[in-house]
Amino acid sequence: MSKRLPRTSNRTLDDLRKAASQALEAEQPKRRPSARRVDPAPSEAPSGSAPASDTAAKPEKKPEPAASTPPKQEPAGSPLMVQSSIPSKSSFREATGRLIIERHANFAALAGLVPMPFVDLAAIAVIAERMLRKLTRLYGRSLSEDQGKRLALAMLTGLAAPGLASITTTAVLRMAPGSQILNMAITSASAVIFIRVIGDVYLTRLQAGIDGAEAVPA
Amino acid sequence: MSGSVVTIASLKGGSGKTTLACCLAVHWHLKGYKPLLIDADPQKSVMRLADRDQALGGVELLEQADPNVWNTIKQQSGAHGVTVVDTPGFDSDITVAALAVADLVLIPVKASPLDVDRMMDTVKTLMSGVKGWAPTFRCVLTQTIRGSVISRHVRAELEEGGFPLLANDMPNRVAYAEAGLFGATPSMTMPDSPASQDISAIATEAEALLATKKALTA
Repeated sequence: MSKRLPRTSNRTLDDLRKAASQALEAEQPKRRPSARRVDPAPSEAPSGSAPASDTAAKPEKKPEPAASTPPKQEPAGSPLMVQSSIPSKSSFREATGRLIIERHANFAALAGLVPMPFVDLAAIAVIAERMLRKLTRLYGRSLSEDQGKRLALAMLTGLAAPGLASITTTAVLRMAPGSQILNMAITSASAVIFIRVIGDVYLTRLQAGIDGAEAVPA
Repeated sequence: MSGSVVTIASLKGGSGKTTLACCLAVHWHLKGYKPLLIDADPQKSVMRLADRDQALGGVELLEQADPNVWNTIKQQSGAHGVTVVDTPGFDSDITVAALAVADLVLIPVKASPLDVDRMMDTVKTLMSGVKGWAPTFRCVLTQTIRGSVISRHVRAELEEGGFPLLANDMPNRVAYAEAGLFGATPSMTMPDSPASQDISAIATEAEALLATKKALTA
């Protein structure tokens, strides 16, 4: 380089990571009682903290080690103050989980309209298995295809027995001539309820910290 | 790339967010990726551009400048090849909400001290905004002058500080403003121009990042 230019900033990505994790740790106990509560300003910007931003130019090139640097709090109006009204991680996950359940319930409604007895049931089982695996992944856990199938089967037969009975009955009814459309409508509606029940139960288990694989029957 | 969300964010105005968002969306539209461009900026810059003659080549647009945009993105992204979100150039819940659902965040930054400083605030918001969600992000040097000392200086400094940068810049070119007069981007008006090639190179890098991320989370 022909010219020697001064540094634009002394901060590194590591500094920002540390600041973010310190802010997160400092905030955790306060957020726990009510995750969606709008935090009052003092929780994030204590009056004792230096008002000067850490963006101010400093002569030292290297930042101080984390141990000797007290957790730097953000001044009022900084980006960290923006967070309180947006979804927390758990509520964000829950909302995403609900979207997954809703989307799969819609697929199940279509699957229930398949005019072939038992083929529709197989399609609904596949949809349940896919939904369970997506929900598991949403919570950062793993569920193999085999585990997913066993879990879906267990939930289909155990948790929503009345729904299954309803679908099976309508599937058998469908073999008889007449009232085909009515039966398809009943199967479709049952499938939606079915998938929602399974999704809700499984989401609750994931929120309670029960691993997807733990819930799989041996 | 299907269902991916690319959020263009910077807490600094005039960094090139809207230009980059429009150029990427149009580029992917011309490649047949069926993108959705969401204007989450209350200034409505994307919508204003789309009001002009060529209407950004018919890219599907959605305007929602409120913090609930994350919900809309979650609902819409599945039906599109890629969703590009343009965010406001200031501290806002909208920006944090759009960051929360991004698979990839691109942070345009000009080669100037003020822009670098605000870029760091953006990264801090990204890290702290939604409690533990950490989308992949890359900084993109914008409005650079080819061969200038300051551009090289800022790039070297950011790399040294650990900030991930796209290998390709978005240099300062009149082609963007000229195309904007028609409600277009250089990919539409001058497909073989250097500006169009710059966008293509940035888009290719973004595609590779999205593909890698998808493979890792599959």
